[in-house]
Amino acid sequence: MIRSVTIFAVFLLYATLAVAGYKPGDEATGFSLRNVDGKLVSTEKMGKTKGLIVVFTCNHCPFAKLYQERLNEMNTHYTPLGFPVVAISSNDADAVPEDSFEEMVKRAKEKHYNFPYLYDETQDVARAYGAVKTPQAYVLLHEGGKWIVKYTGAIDDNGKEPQKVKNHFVTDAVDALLSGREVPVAATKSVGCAIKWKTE
Amino acid sequence: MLSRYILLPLVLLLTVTASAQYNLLKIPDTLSGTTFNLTARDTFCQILDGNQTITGSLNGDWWGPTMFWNKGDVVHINVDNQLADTTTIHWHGFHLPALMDGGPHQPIPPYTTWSPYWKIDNNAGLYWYHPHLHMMAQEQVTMGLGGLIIVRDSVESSLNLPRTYSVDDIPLVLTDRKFDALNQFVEASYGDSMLTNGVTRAEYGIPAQVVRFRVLDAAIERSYNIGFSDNRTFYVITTDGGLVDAPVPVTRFLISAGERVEILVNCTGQSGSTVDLKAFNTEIAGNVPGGETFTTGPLVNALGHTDFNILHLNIGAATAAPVTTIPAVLTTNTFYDESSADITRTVTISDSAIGPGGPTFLINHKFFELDDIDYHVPLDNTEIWEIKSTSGFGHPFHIHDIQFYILSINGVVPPAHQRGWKDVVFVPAFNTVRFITKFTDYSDELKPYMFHCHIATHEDIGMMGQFVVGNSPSGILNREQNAHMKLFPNPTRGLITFSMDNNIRIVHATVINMRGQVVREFDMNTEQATLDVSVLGNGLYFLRLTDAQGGNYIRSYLMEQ
Repeated sequence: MIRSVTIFAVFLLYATLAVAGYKPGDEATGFSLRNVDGKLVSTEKMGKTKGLIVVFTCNHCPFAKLYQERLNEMNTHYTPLGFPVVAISSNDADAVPEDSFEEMVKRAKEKHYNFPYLYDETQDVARAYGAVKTPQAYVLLHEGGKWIVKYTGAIDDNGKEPQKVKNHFVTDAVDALLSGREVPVAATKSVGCAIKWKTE
Repeated sequence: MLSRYILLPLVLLLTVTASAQYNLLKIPDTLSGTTFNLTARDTFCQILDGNQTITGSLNGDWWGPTMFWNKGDVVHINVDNQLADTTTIHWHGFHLPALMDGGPHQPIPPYTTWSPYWKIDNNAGLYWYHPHLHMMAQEQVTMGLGGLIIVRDSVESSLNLPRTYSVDDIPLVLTDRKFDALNQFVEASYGDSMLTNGVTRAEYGIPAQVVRFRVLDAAIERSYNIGFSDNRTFYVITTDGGLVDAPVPVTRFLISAGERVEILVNCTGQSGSTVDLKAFNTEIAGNVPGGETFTTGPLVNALGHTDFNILHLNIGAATAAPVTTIPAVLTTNTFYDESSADITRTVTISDSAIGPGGPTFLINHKFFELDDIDYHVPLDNTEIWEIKSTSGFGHPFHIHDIQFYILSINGVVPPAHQRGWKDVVFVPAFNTVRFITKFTDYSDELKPYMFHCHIATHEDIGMMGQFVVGNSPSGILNREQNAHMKLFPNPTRGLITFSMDNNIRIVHATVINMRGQVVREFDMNTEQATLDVSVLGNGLYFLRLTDAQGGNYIRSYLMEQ
């Protein structure tokens, strides 16, 4: 009987974790994290940006790897429009050695990342946002000094074959915000590998 | 939100059925020899049109390679876990040392390699491998981790049977999955899409001769009542653990989760025609997995209580040296005599109260505990196990280490196609199944083997028990020994107190997390103590106590802060 209570409690715990995190309309916390160039990147110093495309990603996940080039393209296109890409890796490097900061630095060089690739070593940012997968995107609109979540979820609907994408969830959201329209799809399920949490 | 996830796959399914397009069946790659390397990793696979599905796989993008093993060989397997999640790999159906079994007691932590080895003593037949981590089996099996093993021996090799892999000897892994709007797996007991070797709406070309299908039910829950669209006769030549004495002609075969069957179908002279291998699940009762007629709730699915295609077959020209006849005799099995049994054990299957997620099911009236041993089986014991179900639902019962012979199902001798070596038996609702077996060769008082319902959902929730084979019940994982240890409060918020009876003095305490890692250790010399474990995060832990004589006691507890 204790066991059934235990199991139920575990389920409740997971259920709580699953629903935690930002929904469209929520105010997101800012962050200040170390970039692969060694410098801190802080949202406090982004007074002029209209918004941010925050993507939780990592080195090791095969599905995240499919989006490396697309993140570069998005950043190239949207930075001049005031909506840059910021990538954050939150994986526990003890669990996944390939996701260590040193490996992040290497990957950013190899793949010529043109966007900040930040290391969320404490996992506090991922927990605050409620990110669970890599890649998982948040489109944030900068309004009155606040970061308001306008979209959460998948980047688009086809990882392996970008030419077959039918729904560009993230860029559709940013395009809508830039032209003052409502975001067409404000939330989808993120698709990819589970973020690896520290156990203690 | 829920209705969207249920409706969308239905709409997709209707659309694709209307297009009547088939996809070519994938055949798993093969590995042979005596040393095998398997790497488990997160990956993705093109299963539906559009977005890829996140999967887990061994050496590929969905389902692992088929390994060919020879009876009598010593096989060495290196399982490299690159999943970034603990897993286990269980060798389903094999007689082997408990340490090599790959059950919940042999976890493979992330980025480590597990290298079991043993001498293959099983008869020629179809076996398989899959994850067996307690409470995680369904999730990892859903992702696609698993693979087939084909054992060959001199008896089977001497028969004139089809055995050209992928030509006239075709592996079929049956399962089904539910997908969400982004083509990702939804963890569910039943899917809306039939997957045959990971392919929806599969088709394959076979030659106009006798063709052998090696079929595994790898579903989370569903049984498949297989047959052909023209109701032709086919021949059952194996049960789970090898050849039956003679081919058994049937027109239907009900296969349940974990079971395997090899069948022969004679297509001689039928070049140019087509036939469908189907699941005739309208013919199965509502208390058989897949026969339910629910219209609401989480078990509703597009394939429930319907007839659906498993594989569309295009029959082409015969090969150069075709098999054209069904053999009359296959082998001579010798099963254990009922009078030789040393003991009859009664295992109960029952329904518990209906909880928030529906009813749960129990074995021996309790949920599985990693530190409870149900039975101590003396080495070389011949035993009758009586599986007595008071459950209103049928359950496929699986036991590790041994193959058994079914004596009766509800007092009646089983049909000819079940009279062979088995390691899974479908126990119908309110029925009693009796089987006989012998526990030989491998004795280990510390490492248990499992017996459980092979419906992954039921197993994960705790419809499982365990036994050790050995002569003197002692050491860790001993139910009677653990009874000396009390642990409270459970769940705890940070302080946990143990108390021993019988004046047992504890000298060392170890806290172990679900990954099997030691996270805290304490030295002491006491019968009772309160330990501060508050710095550890939420989750399930084991507390292992060691007494002055080296005896171990283990109990689990939940941390909830």
